[in-house]
Amino acid sequence: MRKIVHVDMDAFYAAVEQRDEPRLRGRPVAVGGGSERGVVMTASYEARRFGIHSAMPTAVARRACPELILVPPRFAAYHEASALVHEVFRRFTDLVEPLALDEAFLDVTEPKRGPPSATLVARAIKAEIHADTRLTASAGVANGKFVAKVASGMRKPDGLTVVTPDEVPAFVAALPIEAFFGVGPRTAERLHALGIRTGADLLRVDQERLHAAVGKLSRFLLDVARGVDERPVVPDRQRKSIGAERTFARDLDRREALEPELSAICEVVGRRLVRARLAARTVTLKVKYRDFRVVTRSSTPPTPLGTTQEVRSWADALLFTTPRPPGALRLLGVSLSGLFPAHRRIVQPRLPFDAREDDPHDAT
Amino acid sequence: MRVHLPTKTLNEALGHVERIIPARSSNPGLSLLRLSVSDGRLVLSGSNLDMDVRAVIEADVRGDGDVAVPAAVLGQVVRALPGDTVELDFGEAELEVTSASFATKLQLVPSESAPVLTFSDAFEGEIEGLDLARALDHVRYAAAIADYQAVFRGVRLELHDERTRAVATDGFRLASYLAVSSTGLDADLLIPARSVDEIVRLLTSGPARLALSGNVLTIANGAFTLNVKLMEGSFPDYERVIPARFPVKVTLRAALLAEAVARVAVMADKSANHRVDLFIKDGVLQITAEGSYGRAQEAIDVLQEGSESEIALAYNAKYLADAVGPIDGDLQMQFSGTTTPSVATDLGDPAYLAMVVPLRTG
Repeated sequence: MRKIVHVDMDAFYAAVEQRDEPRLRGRPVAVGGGSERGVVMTASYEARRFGIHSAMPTAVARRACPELILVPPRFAAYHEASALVHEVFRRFTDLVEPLALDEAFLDVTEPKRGPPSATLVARAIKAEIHADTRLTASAGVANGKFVAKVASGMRKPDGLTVVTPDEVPAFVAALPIEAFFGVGPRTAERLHALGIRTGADLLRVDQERLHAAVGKLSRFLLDVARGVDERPVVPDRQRKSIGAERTFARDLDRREALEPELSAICEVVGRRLVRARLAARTVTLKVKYRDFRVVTRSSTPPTPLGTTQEVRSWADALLFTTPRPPGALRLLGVSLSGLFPAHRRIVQPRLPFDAREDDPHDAT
Repeated sequence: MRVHLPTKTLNEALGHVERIIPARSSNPGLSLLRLSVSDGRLVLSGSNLDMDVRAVIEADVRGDGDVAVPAAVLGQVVRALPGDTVELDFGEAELEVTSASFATKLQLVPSESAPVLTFSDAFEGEIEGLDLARALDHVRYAAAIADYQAVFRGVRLELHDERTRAVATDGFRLASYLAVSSTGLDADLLIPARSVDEIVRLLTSGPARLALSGNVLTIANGAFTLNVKLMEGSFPDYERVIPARFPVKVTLRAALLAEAVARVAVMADKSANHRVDLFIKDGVLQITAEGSYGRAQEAIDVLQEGSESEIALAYNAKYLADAVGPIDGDLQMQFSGTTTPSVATDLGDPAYLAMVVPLRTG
């Protein structure tokens, strides 16, 4: 019998901001892009009371809560906090599967230390996270990933929800279908059409009809509804790409306006590349025009990219040297793919055109 | 107006012109081919903004006029014609193309929609077409496909007394071809690499006459005239980076090295710049490559010279193959050091020089 813990930091970005800036404590705070087109990335619990949630446009959030304090994201601080949280995880198990900076699955069937009780381990992890970061986390414990994840969201913030194996069937049966992994608004609509609103309904409906409605997903839904969820916790999920994009407050078309935007995006992407100790074979530029048409262009340079400066140079080349029909841009994005460990990178040096001549008269 | 001519003649001229004209464009006029008939000649012309092209074909012509059609459509029609000769019959609104038992009517587009092109005839320079083509063709590969420095996406053409030189570099390798023929012009030009491809395809034996006006180079050779829009920018001072001393030199058949590199490079690691390692000692050049699929090696006997008895270095296999590619007979590879540029020359044609920077493997 496996013991899976899902740990989810409470209002992570906002909590880090409130921790680091006392005047934000107890007040409605949203972390997000400062521009009119930006969206809320995380809202503090005080802000959530006004109905503010992540992915909400900041303009809408401001209307919902005029006293909302909007804070620009400080990813360096979040990465730092996340690294501390992961250190805590690793004191208990190496089987850690990160889902995001603020969320991970842990397999604690055989913990490195502590009692062989998942409940006690989860409690210890929460306590040590708080001791090391002064942030709170919520945890869910179950015998499978899906139930553990749903459980961690049940008593937020600072909650701990344990679903024992014999409770799993009833727990899943009572869940609304929207809570299931892979069920978005459209799939939910299709399931509603079959009369499926809860986990229990899944077991009542004809399997063929379910498959016809949602395809491959039906297999997963039925397994989970029966309390079967054998998906392993996969440590250090291999990253396939690193990317960032930015929607502008106003459409931009002049080079002088686009250059700093592109540079800022490359800064973020390059920093993540370096931090992850990776190199990238391919850089891809994504451009969205005023009319929402999206164009991507990629380049595979002679030396795989390993620094922010290299990312910037090649992204710059993609934006400014490829023929571009006239029209202002609404969004720019840069992503790196073909990732591999940076220590395997071999540098193709350039011809020394810019090197100064060895002139003995220059020596001082 | 009506034109009668061999299908092959029309096909060849149209093929060249059509390749330059974009099949689709945000500016619809740009995808049009202009056909002008007068004085016993059929003239085809079009443009892609970077380059204008005109082909003049002597033909059996009646009447005169000026019309336009979508270049890609006429190209498809003409490529598939069944007969040895073709007749073009221009009506009010349609172009009728007849060949053997086949006939089609193609809608004409008002000729005002096609770009208005002018070709300078103020020729001041001249060079044998194949000499210019050879120089450009030898160096084209070294230009960058994409790079942040625009000059690396062009081929530099130096026109001076007694010498004509083509140079291209992408910043990592360089190719130069120095021909001892003069054009009569005195200028340094930067031609977009894409345009160079078309120039090389179009040039045939016979004089290529050159005219320069503003940032446009006009080249007239045989039936074709080209306007080539030139690039701006200062080309790096490349002569300064050509090493002067080479402690190790080897001479061998270029084809032997090219084939060995191609064979060995199958095993090269793609994520590690297609690295192939060269080790030269006791008159043997050994090439090895190692990647996730395995390891390969090959040894070639070479004529070895120089002050050092051995050298080991690594290259991007593609760069090495590209540098050797234009050499037909014997090749001399000269190594200045393990981290400084290596030079390849063609012992049968001293005009060609290629330079490649080894990979930094430390």
